[in-house]
Order: sequence, then structure tokens, then C-alpha cells
Amino acid sequence: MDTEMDENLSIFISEGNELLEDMESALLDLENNTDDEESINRVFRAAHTIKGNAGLFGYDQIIDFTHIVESLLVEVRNGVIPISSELVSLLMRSKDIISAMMNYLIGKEEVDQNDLDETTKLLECYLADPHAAALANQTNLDSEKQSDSNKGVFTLNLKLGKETFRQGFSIKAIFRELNELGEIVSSNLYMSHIPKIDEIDPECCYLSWLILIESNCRKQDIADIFEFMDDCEFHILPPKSTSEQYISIINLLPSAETVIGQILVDAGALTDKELQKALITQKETGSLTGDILIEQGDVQPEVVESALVKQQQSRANSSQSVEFLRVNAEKLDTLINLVGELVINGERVSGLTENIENDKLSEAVTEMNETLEEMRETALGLRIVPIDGVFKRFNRTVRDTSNELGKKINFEISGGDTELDKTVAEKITDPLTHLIRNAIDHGIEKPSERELNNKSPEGHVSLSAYHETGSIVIKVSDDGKGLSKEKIANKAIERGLIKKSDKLSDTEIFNLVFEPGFSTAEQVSNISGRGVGMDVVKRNIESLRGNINIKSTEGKGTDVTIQLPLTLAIIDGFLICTENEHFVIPLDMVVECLRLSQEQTQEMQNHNYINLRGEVLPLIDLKNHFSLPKTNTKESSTKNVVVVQYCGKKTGLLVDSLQGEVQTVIKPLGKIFQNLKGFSGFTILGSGNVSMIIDVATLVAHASDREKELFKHHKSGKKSGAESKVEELEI
Amino acid sequence: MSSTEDLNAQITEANETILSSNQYLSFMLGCEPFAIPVTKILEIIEYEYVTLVPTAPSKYRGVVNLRGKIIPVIELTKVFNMEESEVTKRTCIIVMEINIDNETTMIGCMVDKVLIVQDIDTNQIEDTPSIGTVISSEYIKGLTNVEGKFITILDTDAIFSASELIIGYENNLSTSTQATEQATLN
Repeated sequence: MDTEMDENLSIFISEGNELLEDMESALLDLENNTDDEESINRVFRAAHTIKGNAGLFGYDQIIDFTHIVESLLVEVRNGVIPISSELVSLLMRSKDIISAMMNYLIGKEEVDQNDLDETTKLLECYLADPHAAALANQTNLDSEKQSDSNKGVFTLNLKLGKETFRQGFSIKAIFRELNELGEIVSSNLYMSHIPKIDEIDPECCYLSWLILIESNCRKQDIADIFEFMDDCEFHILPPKSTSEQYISIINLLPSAETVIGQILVDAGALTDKELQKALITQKETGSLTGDILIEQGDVQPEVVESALVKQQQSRANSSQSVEFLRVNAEKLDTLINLVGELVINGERVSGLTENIENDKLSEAVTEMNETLEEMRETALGLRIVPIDGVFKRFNRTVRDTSNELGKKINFEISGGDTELDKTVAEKITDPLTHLIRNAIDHGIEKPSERELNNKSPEGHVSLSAYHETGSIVIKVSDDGKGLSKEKIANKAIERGLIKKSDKLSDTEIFNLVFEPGFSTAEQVSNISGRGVGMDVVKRNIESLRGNINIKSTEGKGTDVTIQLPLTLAIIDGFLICTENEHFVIPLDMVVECLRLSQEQTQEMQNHNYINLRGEVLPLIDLKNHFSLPKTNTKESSTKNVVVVQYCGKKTGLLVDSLQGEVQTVIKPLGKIFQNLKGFSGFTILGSGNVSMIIDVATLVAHASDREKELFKHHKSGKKSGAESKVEELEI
Repeated sequence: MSSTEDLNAQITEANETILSSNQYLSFMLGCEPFAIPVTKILEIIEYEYVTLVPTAPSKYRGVVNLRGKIIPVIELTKVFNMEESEVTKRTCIIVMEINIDNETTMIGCMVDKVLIVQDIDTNQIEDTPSIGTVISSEYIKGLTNVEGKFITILDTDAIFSASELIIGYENNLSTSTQATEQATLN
């Protein structure tokens, strides 16, 4: 039972979070465009569904609070309460409270009671607005509130049960209560049910009425009067004016309900009891629920009609939503891992059968590999999501941060449909939040300051994503004051990170801000001083096998570029071999392969670069870089170069032989090797042997660091690769 | 001298019984006998192709694939600063399960040859003399006398500690302390 409960809870929470996210984005839209009906409806639907779900599991605190929010939203939707930015803020705050309440259920967060009380009060204040005063006491099913001008005449067809008097009810009390609800226009007493005199039981009640009441109450209010009178039969036909309203409510209901009776109950056109009765009749007669309801006189025909339309829409929608399935992420990961293993084995089988001359066998193997390839693509696709979900959250971050700092921000999002691995998407949220906050806090100047500098008082922050050679690039740009190279350099000297004599390139200076504990902000503000520095951002990005870079022009703005791998599990690799050791280079990084002629090799005596169609192509000799032990095989006269590209820079990797493409399942470096530079993981080759996967970014960085060290030590300046080449020749 | 299969069967059997805490596997590095408790051992595999891990410290011979798992292989002779020995037909890798930084991981130890699984009572283990041992005493749990020959019993916790194994462990530690310092400052 407990696990079932847990499962329900987790479903409730995850659905709730999605709804809240949608609610927030709708609220943000509303803020920009207060007339947007669709946004109001989205907010309403979210609140309505959360309340409904909470009701299913009996989370009273959430029900009570969401109910008030929902009531307010109905007023907003009916145009009684105008939308203002204060109202949107209040609703945002309410959304945060609901979120806190949900997190409280899983023990993640405490609900701030003061905040809750205050927000509840504010919400009630809005509800109690003079325009809506008449409605303030109607707190239950909000959807059908009417304003004073909307008074209508209810028709109540009442047949009291025989036991009425014995149960202690009095007719007088019933009429008094009806009178409290509104004005009784007329009441006709019917005595047709009174039996013959010798059959009369004087303690029984045989009376029925047709009563017309003019009131602005809801149907349920009238029905409540008879709640405890079990054997009493009654039908309430709402006034004509409300039937139109019911129709509009029905149209606005979240389209999840496919049972017509429930649609009507949700809209308030039908009470639960009426529905139950109709359902019993349906069982007996087999006619349509809608027809029975009209026959019973509970609902007007046109209301049933619109509910039928709604029902059809909902059915159409629900057949679409079958396409989505909630799956435990762990199960999914296991599946992807298994597919990975299968891909390895597939490679192995094709390797083993390569030399067997059997047409049927090779055909079968080829077919199997094609299927495996397709399977791999599909399996990986399971984890891929558009980055939109992550990006949208930042609307709120920007809004809150800019309000807090009194800065005006024009926030722009682009490339939201760019797809990436879900794990990456989740882990990128914190670093991005930090970067965006930084941009607003440190980047964008105060409006007055901007005007002095001939900039529009509104700051511009943009967040964009796009694909580039096998990775996803996310960019955070602002048009603020930019980074001051001088300030950074001074700070770095002060901290002892660099020496005064050091001459650093722009990139190197900007990279200093990623050093632990580095901050040039003169004041630590509430926004940026939350305990995570740029070093943590960098580490987070690197743990995702990504890379972060800063470009900035003082006075103009700053661009922070994050480059991340698309997926964490399987990649297409390019297998190379040098000194009998195999390495895999991610295929996405490979631009082309070249064969070096003997002349070209000899030309490289004194430098480690070649001329690639007029461009300089720096080379890294893997054999030297990795200090691989020399094997006995003769130095081959020709060498191969794999040209890789990273961050727009091309580098050649000098290797012995090229072995072609391989499917590569990435196995993490593990605890022991995790800090190794130049590699991103292991993989198992078709032969069953392990091979290392080269991480081009860190490899190039490592190689250039090494050369710098070398140059420092030997000012005379022969490059490492060239030096060892001379040695080789001497041998 | 038993075959690896026999030893593996003995190890599995020993690890299934409660008595295993007294059982030790002995092996040779050069011409010195050593022993480790079988409780830590998963299996013994024959030395085959080991993939080099460039830029890793030299005590790491490389990695092997054990049924889809990547296992780092460490050369005990290098850890102990002993003379390196040639790879022969008898060279083996003892695969062990160890716990570093609260994470269970597997590691392989390259040894010249494995000998036998035997019972060694705790009271048979003598304290480590502070001088005269073949390897640094920090790695030794004690010595035991078996048929007139002394076997060095290794302290696996000391050999397979996080600081010994994890590459760049010290750096990692210092950056993370810096980060926490920074966090407290903020």
C-alpha cells in the first residue's frame, strides 16, 4: 500500500510541477498582454487540475488554498477583476506557495506559514472587491458565479419524502432557507400524491411543490438545503441566463473529462446527486445520459448539447495524449545501457565474421547491424528533449531579478526547439541561472547610467541555443557594461594568480574569472552572492564534458558561450591507431583525414604544423604527447593526420593508421581516472579490448599548456615534437 | 601451485562461508611472497592485453575489460618501489572490490604468480618490524611464518586508499576546500 501511495504521490508531484510551470509561463505572458484570454484560461486550467488531483489524494491544504486561487481566477476570467501586474505578482506568489506545499509532501521544503496567511488574505481581499461583493460568500464551486445583475429564476420541483417529518425536518424551515437564498416568486403545492384517507399515515409527508425562486445563488446552494433529506426528490432547473454561462464554462473546462455527466457536474450545471440518479436510470433503461438528464428536467437541452461537443473534443485529445507515456527514468537508462552493450556485441560479431566467406551470414550480419543502428538512434532519442523547458524557467528568474534590482530588462529567448539529452538539460539549469543573474546584476547597468552612455534604458539579455558540430551551444548575451580587463588583471595580481609581468591574451584574462573565489564585483549583492561562483559554473559544465568561454567588450556587453555534448551515452567514433594503441576520436569532431607524404614529414623538421590549403594546421603527435612506448615495428614513411575542429579551431592529430568509424558506447573514466586530462571515457572495441576516447577540447588545451611550459624552460625554442623527431632520426 | 580456475573456485567458496575472514591468497612479486585476505578478492584473471592509459601515473599499467566492466590495473611492484618483473605466462591480475570515498569500485592488481588460498589465524600474524621489511611498512599489516618462510600480509586499506589511487586527488581536495571556504565567506 505504501509504495502505491508513494507512486501516486510522485505522479501527483510530477504532474503538478508541470502544471505549475505552465501556469508560470502563462502568468508571464499575461503580464505582457493583459487581454490574452488563452493565458488566463491556461492559468485557470492549471489551478483547476491541481485542485482536482489534490482532491483525489486528499491533500486538504493544497485543495483549500488552490480553491481560493481558482475562485479569484474565475472572477478574472469573467472580467470582474481586472488584470494588473500586482495581481500577476500575487498569482506568482500563490504558485510558489502551491509548489512549496507539494514539495512539503515529499519532505523537500517547508511552507512559510506567514507567507501563506498573507497571500491568502490578499487573495481574499481581491475576491471581496466591491464589484464582486455579492459573490464573496459563494466559495464552493466557483465556476458558476453570477453577478447581481445576473439574477435569474430557478425552477424547483420538490417532492418531499414520506419520512420527512419523522426525520425531524419541517416544511417551514425549508421555506425559510429558500427565502434566505432569494425571493420565492411563486409556490404551487401539489397534492396528487396524497393517498386515500384510510391509507394515510398521519406522520407521513405526501406533499410536493413547484417553486420559482429568483436568486443569484448557485444550483448547488439550493440542493444543499435538501442534503440530509434522503428520501426527498427534487429537480432544480437553473434560470435561462445561466444556461448560457454553463455553456461557456463547459467550453473552458480542461479537456480531460470524457464522461458527459462529469462534464456537467464540473461546470456546475448538475449536482452529484442528480447525476447519480440519472446513472441509475441509465442502467435500467439503457438510454443516453444526456437524454435522461433533459427528461429529468435537471439540465437544459442546449447545455447538454455543448457538453456533448466538449466530450467529443476531449475524446479526440485523449486519443492524442496516448502518445505520451510516463516511464521511470532508471528503467530507460537501463534500456539505453543494454542497447549500448548490444551495439558493442554487434560490432564484435561483424568483426568476427568479416573473414568468413558466407554470403548469407554476412547478409544477416549486415541486416542485424542496420537494425542495431536504428535501435541505438531510437534509444538515444528517448532521452532527448527540447531545451525550451529549461529556457522558459528563466523568464521568471529575469523578472524577479530585474524587479529586485530596479533594472528594466528585455529578455529574449531563441532556439528553444534545440534538442539535447534530458540529463544535460537538467544539469545545465543551475549554471544558466547563475549566468543570467550575473548578466542582470553585474552586466546591465542602471537605467540612468545606460542613458548617460547613449544606450536604451532597457537592458537586453538574450539566451539562445543552436547545434554546432555534434554539440549544442548555449549563449547568454547582454548589452551591459562588459568585463573590465584591467580590473580582472588587477584582481588576479592581487590574489597572486598572475604576475604583473605576465602578458595574457584577452581570452586568458577573461578565463581568470573562473578561478575559485574570483569576483570583481565591488559589492556582493543579494543576487550574485548566493554561494556559487563562476568556478562552480565552470566545474558543472566540465562535468558534463562541456566547455565555457567568455567574450566581452567593455561598454558593449558580454557573451558567455557554453558548448555541451549532445548525448552522454553513445557516440559515433573514429578509430585510430598509433604505436599499436587504439584511440577513439568522436566523429563529430573530425573534419577530414590527410596522409602526410615523406616530403611533408621532412618539412616539419623545425616546426609542428603543416600547410593545409593555405592555412596553418598545428599538429599534435599523439605518440609523443601520450609518451607511448615505442614498438618494434619500423617507422612507417607515411603518417596520417586526423583534422579535428573544436570551438572553430582546427588541429591535426598525427597518428600511425586510420581504422574507420566505430559505434562507441562511452564508459565513464570512473573515480580513479576522472581527473585525467585529454580523455572523456573508455569504450570497448569489437575485439573486446578497451580503448580510450579522446576528448579533443582538453587534449588541445593540455598540449598547448605543455608547449607553453616547454617554451618557458627552453627559451631557445624548439618544439617538443620537433625535438623528439630529431632524436628519432639520430637513432 | 594451483591453476587460476582452482583458485577462483576456492575464492568463491571461501567468500560464501563465514570462515573466509581467516583465509588469505598468497602470491609472488619478484621472489617475495605476499598475502591478501580473500574477502576483498572477486576473482583472478590471466594477464592478457592491457590498454595503456596515457598520462596516468606509471603505477597504472592500464585498463582491462572484464565482461563489459572497465577495470584499472595497478602494478604492485611499482607501488612498492620494487624491481619491475617481466610479463610471463604466469602473470595474473587479482580483481578486487574496494571502497574509495564511499564508492565501491573494482581494481586489478598485477602479480607475477598466484600461489594458494590458505588459512592464517590472527594469532599467527606477527607485528610488522619497523625496519628490515622488503617494502615500506606503511603497506604491511603483519608477517606470518608458513613452513619456515615469512609471508608479508598486505594492508589493503592503506594500498587502496583514495589518496593513493585517485589521480589528482590532492588537487581535487584543495579546490573543493577553497570552494567551501568561498561559500562560507559569501
